[in-house]
Amino acid sequence: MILHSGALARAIVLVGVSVLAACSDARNSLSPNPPVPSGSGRLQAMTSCGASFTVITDETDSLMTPYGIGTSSDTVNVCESWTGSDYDYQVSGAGSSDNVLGFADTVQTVAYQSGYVTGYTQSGAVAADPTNVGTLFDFVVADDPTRQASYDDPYYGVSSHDPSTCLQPPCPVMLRAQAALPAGDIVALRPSGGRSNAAVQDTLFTRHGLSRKGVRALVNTADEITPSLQGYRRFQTVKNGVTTLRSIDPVTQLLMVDQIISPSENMVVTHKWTKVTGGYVMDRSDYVSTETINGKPVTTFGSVRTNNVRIMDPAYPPLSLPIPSH
Amino acid sequence: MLRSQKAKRDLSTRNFLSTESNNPTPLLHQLGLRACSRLFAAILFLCAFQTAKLQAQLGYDHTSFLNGYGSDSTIWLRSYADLQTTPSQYLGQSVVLKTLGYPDVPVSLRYPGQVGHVVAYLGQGGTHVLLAHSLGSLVARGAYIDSTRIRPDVAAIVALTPPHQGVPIADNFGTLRNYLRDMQRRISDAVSGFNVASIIYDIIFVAFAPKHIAGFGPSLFGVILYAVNSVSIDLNNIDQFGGAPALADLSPTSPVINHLNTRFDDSSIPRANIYGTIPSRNAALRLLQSMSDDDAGFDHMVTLRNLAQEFFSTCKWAGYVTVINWTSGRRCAYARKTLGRLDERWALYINGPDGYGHVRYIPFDGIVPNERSVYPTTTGLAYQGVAPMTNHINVYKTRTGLDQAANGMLRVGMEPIQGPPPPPTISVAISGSTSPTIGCPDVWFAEATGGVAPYTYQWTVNGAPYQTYGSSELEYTPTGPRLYLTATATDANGNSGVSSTFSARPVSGSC
Repeated sequence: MILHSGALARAIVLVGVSVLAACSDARNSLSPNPPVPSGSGRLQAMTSCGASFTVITDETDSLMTPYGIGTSSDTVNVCESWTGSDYDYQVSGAGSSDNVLGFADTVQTVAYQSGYVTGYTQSGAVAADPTNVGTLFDFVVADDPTRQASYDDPYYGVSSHDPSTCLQPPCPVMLRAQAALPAGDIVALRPSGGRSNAAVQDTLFTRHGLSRKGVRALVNTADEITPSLQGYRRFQTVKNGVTTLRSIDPVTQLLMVDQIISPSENMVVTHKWTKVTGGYVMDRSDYVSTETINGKPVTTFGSVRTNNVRIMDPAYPPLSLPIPSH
Repeated sequence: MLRSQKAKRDLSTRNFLSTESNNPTPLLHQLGLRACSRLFAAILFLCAFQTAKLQAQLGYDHTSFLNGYGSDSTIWLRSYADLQTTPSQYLGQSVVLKTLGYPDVPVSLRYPGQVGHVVAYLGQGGTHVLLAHSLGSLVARGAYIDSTRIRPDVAAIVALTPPHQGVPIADNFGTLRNYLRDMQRRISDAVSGFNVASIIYDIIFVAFAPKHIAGFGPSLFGVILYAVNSVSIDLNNIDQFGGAPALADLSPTSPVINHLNTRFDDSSIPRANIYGTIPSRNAALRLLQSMSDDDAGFDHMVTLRNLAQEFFSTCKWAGYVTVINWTSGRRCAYARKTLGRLDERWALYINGPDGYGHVRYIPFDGIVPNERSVYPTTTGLAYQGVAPMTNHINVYKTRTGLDQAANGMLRVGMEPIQGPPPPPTISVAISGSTSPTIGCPDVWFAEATGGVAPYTYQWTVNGAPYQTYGSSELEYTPTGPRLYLTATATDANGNSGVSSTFSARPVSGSC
């Protein structure tokens, strides 16, 4: 309804353009001459983390099994912060089965900031000069719903605030609106005109009646199909020959299953969440992928466990597992 | 015939002079004094004399170069960056090579055919020192062992990175090749994750097209593609490597290796053994660069490898937990893993596994483990040297490797290049009174030695030239309490020498 208001639509466009311009001045990767990160040439730990957590992956690549390196485990500590249009991001290796004595990867820590990726050695020395890779969205080739989900809830990958968490509107949430714009344009939206950002946001992702941030943006442009056998609501997107199916628990509105189907691969990812006060944190994701290589199916599988999730971004309510009492 | 009989007689003395050293100390010490001291002092002088005599008398009028596996005789005729010339010309700067020959060791043939090829070449005449690389070393030994007819035509063998004991890669090649193919596959999958058809393409080529980043390429996408593709192995080269029939002969358990390891006929001629050593780290990339004759670009290649690891790591973790893209995350995870394990897998397939199937951490040159370069017999082995290399595995392309080859060639008795004689050292001594009488004439004498007479002399008195018209005698009347003299002598060839300062303390008195 509100979107049909011409005045509001113009306001959204104007606000969006102004935000885009502002972002370009500061740290938006679309700047033709992004500043090269300065520093001493050594790793400088991020001073604050919007979210911090530990990730442990256990993966089995059956293509590599004949060579004796089918399975691998990695443990990393992640510190990331939402900047309003992108992330600052640092991943420090804590352990890896691939760190074979004498042959450990040179790059043990990676950092992304302001469009640049830099790799660091175990000792913190720069392994290769900072390299511009665009935004983190560009780098992982995120589609529009995925980008929109980050704007809706930047830490939706590892946490999810319950819809009632925002106790004191306007809640400081940035989001990207594309409904009123040509496809492919990037426009950000900020609070304006006495109407809270949260309120505007809540009018944009209502297509499927979902209110959980991140999730609602992720599936808003998808088509709902028949429920899964588990009773999950399923939302489908087909683009460039790739079908993406996302399954949502109708009760908790949490993302429970991702399925990506392409001519060369069928990947199913199931998620488990842990309830905490004010929301959920990600427990683990398990995937199975079947590829066709040289006409033969190759199945790979793995788990991505997320520990010690802490949401500490001052713009969002804190969220974390309770600290065990002794 | 007389010459070869003499050579054999001489070399029979040499057979017990086994030395293993990479220390380029004088030949006389290496071959003579050390061995003699092990026997008894009474014949020390005779041994040393005999050894020196042998060195000078190695009979050869050809130096023939044998190529290794997967190459041909043109490797000796190409100019390489590190040498600034060809290998044979480089060696010719320190060793008298005499007539040069380049018999091909055809990779298309098995061992008997290769030996036959070299035997036919040697049968054309001349007495040869064989300088052989890799497989060529086995063929050189085989020619000598298997053909008694041509033995008098082989004066010595110098082996560069020889696979005397066979190489595990011969048995592991199929697995290695498949691993590289699948690694390539994983990298390609990840690269396709950097979706060129998406908006990133426009961003890159519109916004960044003019931008050159650290010299890597014209665009961001170029950087990524270049980095991740450049660390791939050229499978065409690998296929050619493994496709040659002679590979089967190099298996540690092959009949050829077994045959050569049970025959020691060549211990009757002097031989040298050189092996190369490189770090295990990035060995595959070193090989890749050497195959492209671009050893100088090795560091750049390592940088690209690190860049690729940066990209894959960032893409993996971001795709899994931040900007969720599961297919990108998974592809990058597996690309990172297969590329990350390249060094370790390479070392495994080249060095062979231990009893538990684990990687063996032993020195190698990238293809041949050093332990498998051991000569079947050290009897008569005149020299064994290590060429520590940091940026390549192809020993014949580098000064480090060829300097060791030259050491080996000299140790087997080839003639060193004789440069112009150094200028003689002319010494000048002054004699005369150190306490002359002030005001009384006196005479001082200068005498030169070490040059070619006649000499002319130039004197200085208290730092100032004093004219004597070339005479060795200085007649001078001291005028004060200090007298300093020097004399410069110039011999018939124009070479000069200066005396040390002669100091005298004139005293008062009557003449």
